[in-house]
Order: sequence, then structure tokens, then C-alpha cells
Amino acid sequence: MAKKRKKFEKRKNIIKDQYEEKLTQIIFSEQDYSQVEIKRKLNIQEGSVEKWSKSYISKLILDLTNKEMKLNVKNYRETLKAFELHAYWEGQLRNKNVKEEGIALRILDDMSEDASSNAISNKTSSQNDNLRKHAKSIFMKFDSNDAFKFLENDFDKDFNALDEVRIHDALKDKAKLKTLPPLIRWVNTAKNEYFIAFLIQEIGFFNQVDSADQLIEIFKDVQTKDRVKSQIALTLGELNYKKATAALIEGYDTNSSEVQQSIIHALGDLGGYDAILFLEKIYQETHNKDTLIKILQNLYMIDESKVVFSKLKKTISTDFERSIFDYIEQGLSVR
Amino acid sequence: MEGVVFVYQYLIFFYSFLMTVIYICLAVFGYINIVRNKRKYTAKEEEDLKSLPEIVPGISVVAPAYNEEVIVIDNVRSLLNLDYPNFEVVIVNDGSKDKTLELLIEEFDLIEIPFPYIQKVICQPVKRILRSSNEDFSRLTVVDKVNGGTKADAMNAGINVAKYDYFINTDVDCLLARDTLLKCILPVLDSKVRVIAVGATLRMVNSCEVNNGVITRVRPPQRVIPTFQETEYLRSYLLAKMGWSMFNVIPNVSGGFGLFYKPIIIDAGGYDPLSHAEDMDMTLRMIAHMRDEKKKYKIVQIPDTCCWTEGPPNMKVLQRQRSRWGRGLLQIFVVHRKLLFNRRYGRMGFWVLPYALIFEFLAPIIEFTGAIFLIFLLLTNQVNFATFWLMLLFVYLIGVTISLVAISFDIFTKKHYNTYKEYIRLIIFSSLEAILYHPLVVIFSLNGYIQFLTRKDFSWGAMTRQGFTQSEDTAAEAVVIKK
Repeated sequence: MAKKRKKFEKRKNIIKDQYEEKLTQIIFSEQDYSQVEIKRKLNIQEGSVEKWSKSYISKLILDLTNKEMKLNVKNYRETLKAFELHAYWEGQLRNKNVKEEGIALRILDDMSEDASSNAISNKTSSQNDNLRKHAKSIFMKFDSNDAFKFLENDFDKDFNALDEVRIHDALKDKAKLKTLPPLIRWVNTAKNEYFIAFLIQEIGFFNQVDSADQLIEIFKDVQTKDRVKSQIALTLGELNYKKATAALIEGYDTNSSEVQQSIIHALGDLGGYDAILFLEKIYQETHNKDTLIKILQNLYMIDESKVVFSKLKKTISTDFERSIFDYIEQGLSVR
Repeated sequence: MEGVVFVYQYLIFFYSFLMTVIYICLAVFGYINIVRNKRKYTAKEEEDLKSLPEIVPGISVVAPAYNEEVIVIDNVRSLLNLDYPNFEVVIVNDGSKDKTLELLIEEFDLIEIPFPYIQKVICQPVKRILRSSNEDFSRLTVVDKVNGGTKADAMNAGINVAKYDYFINTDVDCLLARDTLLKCILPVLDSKVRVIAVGATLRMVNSCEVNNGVITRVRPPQRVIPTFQETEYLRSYLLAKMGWSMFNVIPNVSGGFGLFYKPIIIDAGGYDPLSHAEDMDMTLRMIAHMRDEKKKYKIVQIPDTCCWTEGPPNMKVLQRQRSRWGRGLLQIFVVHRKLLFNRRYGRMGFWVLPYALIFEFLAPIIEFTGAIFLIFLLLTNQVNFATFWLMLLFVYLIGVTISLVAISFDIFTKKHYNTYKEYIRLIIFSSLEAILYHPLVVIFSLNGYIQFLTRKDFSWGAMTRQGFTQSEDTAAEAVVIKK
């Protein structure tokens, strides 16, 4: 183990000494260089870069890109091509070793762009859950033809919250290039309630207001699961879709406390006279202390004149209620 | 009499044999689990989480403090420096009689705030809640409460104030690694089944270099007892718990450090202030609650060292610690006896508790009676010395090998010490453990059992704090704190 570590450190230092300074000059340069110029500067000739060194070079380049300096994206991409790093890592993806495949996927993900979605595509049917799901999310980043195909069929049978993070990351990258397609399309075809709730959360994050009416319809459906309803309420609030106020108020009494909490939160985002009156009404009827705090937090946000808030303050009958009002008025509460 | 001797010898033989087999299996499964964990969760995943604060769950870090003026500032600074986008730090001042609270108020510009306090789990009354007027410490909340006499009571107050669904249970005498929250939350996110608790490796902070609450250089402890305990911890976390984790049968998430899902803790009634092993008691009650509700759950162990804690610097403190653990273990079997061999509680009823009963609770009793029995055999000239020495050597080597495996797992997970020479210190101590350290642990554990059965000396173990920035030589000046 110690020998392996020593070898790793030795090789890492060799590569660092050989390339760090030159690479810094190239990828942070204000001047654009061609691939030929970069090869000349780095003294790269056909077959001169040994296979073992490509892994260390990749890690060195990725470390350098984390520096707080302005990256010259063109030079960076040409440098990757000069070392043929994409080809190397795509090759590593085919070597049937789960550990190596995992490393290759992560490096390709970090290098971003220019990776071949074909090489990654092969891994999207891997027997290894982690590798398969990771490959699917990276495929979404790199594929230019049918990037969102894995959003069909609930993404994966083992979909979980870590996939949410990876898909969210991929969608953010895609959204930088071009407007995303309406995610509601996959909400309608999905069956896994966790995946549906995640897509609805993303609809809010990417501000896809056009899907709001359909979300209201799903919210009204009595078959819809609580988790999904709760997320719809939050998303409608985030989208600031005022027309949803009536549907949310109407649905309050017939839903679980989880959904009720989300409705209160959404009304705090949506605001308006109806929302204020409704929050005032439910404040009088609520016995759950957490819900009381939530109601007042949201009411305070939207009641600009503070008329209703002050009216409720006059009805205080316990020390606990007084502490909520003081807490909120001093700006200490965070929703 | 001859028949008794015969049966006893065979019982001991099979007991030791079974224990050895179990430990070998745990080592194999522990290794597989460590490899899996290292493959799945890398710096890349941690970076992804850090760059996406809008999607990562919030975590509350709850640390009770009672008369911790020597270390509280360093510790809070360390907690506030954790590398995670979405967290809060809740320090519970459990009625300290020293300057713990005054120091906190002064150092972090704390002011009392109106706080709508809801008692979801029972604890002694909360006097006031304080937050910082300085934006730099906006993540910090301090709960000032009436002393409850136990960590459990203080933890419950912290849980009542914590705002996030996941919380870390730690101590003010512990230092957390900066990436702790990232490492702990990854297995939570990466599961379809609700993860109700995550444990990680704890080790000794005693001789580490600490600067402003951050460990700058990890060293093996220089004192004898913490060095023995360092290896003992590595065996427990990297070998046993990583192995058990493969089958979702972890019996106990350490009271020194663990990530927990708050709603389940609340539903299960919170920490029991009357328990002497509140961590194992809480873990068992969480499991029982999930089984009663027929809900799936997972308890995960990660191999990374996330928490550094002060080990007992001398024999007196070790005695207090081990006697308390002994009392706690016996109390667990008294309180939770209905769970033992109960089919309704699945693996906990048939694996976790029986294992703890036979190989943890009974072990000191068997070892002690074994020693007495050996003396009897020696006096009556019934020992076959050729076999005796062979068996003794075999058992000794098995013990040392298990320790060596745990140390190598630690190096494999992450090489914390700068030099391999420092690991040799651990190896040397491992070879002496069976002779110098283990007999003490057996005696102190038995002492704990007797204390529990005779209902005396139930005061909480005192700990001599040295302070993270002090060297071990200054221990004499340290403050003795009685809980």
C-alpha cells in the first residue's frame, strides 16, 4: 500500500513539474492558441504522451481549472484535444472495471463538453446501479440529439435523491445552452411519485410557468399522492402563479398536514387579499404550534400594511403566541 | 466435577471459535463495504453537493455543553467552519456552572431573542435562546437551559430547537472534520429507503495539533490509554460496524457522533435521560419504532474519520467511562428485554441484540470466570501446558491480527498520520493490548454491572478536559468537570 502511494505521488510530481507552469500559461492566457501551437508549447509529439501519464495530466488540468482565475475556454478545450484526453477516458470506460469506469465517468463529467455521448451511452445499461445512473445523468449533459430520453420511464428503477442532484446539475448545464423543454411532459408519463415530485420541483426552479395550469389540474385530482401535491403547491408558489390561489385555498381542508404546510408556504409566495384573509382564518382554527408559526411567518410577508397581523396580535392569549409574534417582528424567522 | 470442567472447557472453546469466525466475517464484509463506499462517494460527489445549495438538505449540528469553558470556543469555531452549504449549529448550555455561557456570549456577540419554543421531546426547561448579532455567526444558536444531569436531556433540548430534519449529535469535546456533513449526507441521498441514522469513525484528538478549532496535524496519542483506545475505536468502527452495516444491523450509532433523522427521533420519544447508554438505547428505540410502524429503514456506517474526541487520559477516567458503558449495556438488556428473540423486531430481535448479549455483555463475565477457572486448573494440576501455550498463542495472534486489519483498513480509507512510523506505534500497542489494557476493560465493565445491580454510584462519568490547543503536559492544570 505504501509503495503504491509513493509511486502515485512520484508520478504526480513528475507530471506537475513537467506541465503545471506551461498549462497555467495556456489555459489562463488571454490570447487564443491553436491546437498545433499548444502542442508545440507543451512539446507534444505523436505518441510522446504515455498512456499512464494521461490520468495525471487530466487531474492536473482539472485542479488548475478550479483556480480563481479566468479560464480561456477555447485554449482549455484545445489542450484536452492536444493530449487526446477524451479519447483516453472514453477508452477507460470500456475496460470493464467498475472502479476505472467510475473514475472515467467522473473525469469526463468534470471536463465537460466534447465527450462522446456514445461512449457514455454504453454505460447507461450497466448492471452496476451507481454507474448506470451516473452515466444516464452525464449522458443528459453531453448528448446533443436525444439528451432527455432517460427522463422517460422514471429515469431509473433505483431513482433516489442523489440522482436528483445529478439530474439537477445536468439540467442546469443544459439550460445554460438553450431553453429546456417543458418538464411537465415527463410528469405526465412518470409513475414514481418521488420522480414526479422532483420534476415538479425543477419546473419551479427553471420557471416553466406554462405548466402551471396542468399542475393545478394534477393538484385537484384526488388520486394524486400527498408528496406530489405538496410539491405542486410549493412550485406554484415559486412560479408566483396567482391564479393558483383559489385552488390551493379550496384544497386546504381536504388535504394532509404535509400538503397544508406547503399550501401555507405557497400562499406566502403568492400573496394577495384572498391569501391574507385565508391565513387569518386558519390561524384562528389551528392548534398545531409548528403550523401556527408557519402561518404567521407567511402572513407577515404578504400583509404589507400589517393590519391583519396587528389584528391577530391583539388576540394573543398565551406566552407562546406572544413569542411567535416577537420572533417574526424582529425578523428572526426564516421560512 | 470432572463433567463440569469438561463441559465448561468445550463451551469456552466454541464461544471463542464463534467469536473468531464472526470477526473474520466482519473483516471481510467491512472491507467490501469500505471499497464500495470509496467507489461510490468521491470528492466529485462532494463538490457537486457544494455547488448546488438549492437542492441539498439542511443539517442541524447539535452539541451539548456542560462546564466546557476550556474548549467551547475552539469547538464552536470549528463547527461554524464546516464545509457545507446549508447548516446551523445549536449549542446547548446545560446549566454550566463555569464561564461556558459567558465566553460564548462574549466571543460570538450573542443576544437573547424571542423564540417560539416547542417541546417536542421532554427535557428540563429552556431559560432562553441566544443568537449572534454578528452576521459572520448567523448560523449559531445557543440554548441556555436548566441542568438536566445528562447529555440525553441536553440533546432533547437541542432537538426541540433544531430547524432541519437531519441533525448531527455530537459533543463539545469533539472536533469534526470540515467535510463531515458532505460525507454523512451522501449515503442518505443515495438510498431509496429512509436512512434514519449514519455513523462514522471516531478517533482520539489527544495529541493532534489543533489551530482555531481545525486539526492541522493528526498524530497518534502520546499517552498510553488513548493509544490503546485509538486501535480499539478503529476495530469497532472500520471492522465491526462497517461489517454489520452491510446487513443493516448496526446495533449502536455512537453518542459522540452520528447523523439522525429528527422526525423518527421525535416519534420514538427522544433520548432517554435515565439511560446510561443513551446512544444505543436511542438506536434501538428508533429501530423498534420503524418495525412497529412497518416502515423500511436503513442505518449506515461510513468509513471516514469525521470526529476526533478526547480519550481518557488516565486510569481513573477510563474506569469511569467503562463502568458507565457497562452499566448502560446491562440497562439496555433490562429495558429492552422484550425485543430479545422477538420475531416482530426482525434482525434486531434475532441478530443485533442476541449478538450484543452473548459477545458484548457476557464477554467480560466469561473472561473473568475463565481466569478464575484457569487458576483452579493450575492449582489442581489439570493444565496440559503444550495445548495451553498453543491455544494462548493462537488467541493472542488472532487478536493482534484483527487490530492489524483494522489499522490497514484505516490507511486504506485515508492515511491520516504523516508517517508510517506513527502507525507502528499503534501496532506495538496492539500487541500489548491483551496484556496491559484488556484486563482493565474487563474489570471496569464488571464494576459497571455490579454498580447497576447494586444501584450505587450512578453519577455521570467525569472527564478531564485538556483543551484542543493545549499539549498533554499541561493536563495537570486542566479543569475537572463533573457531570
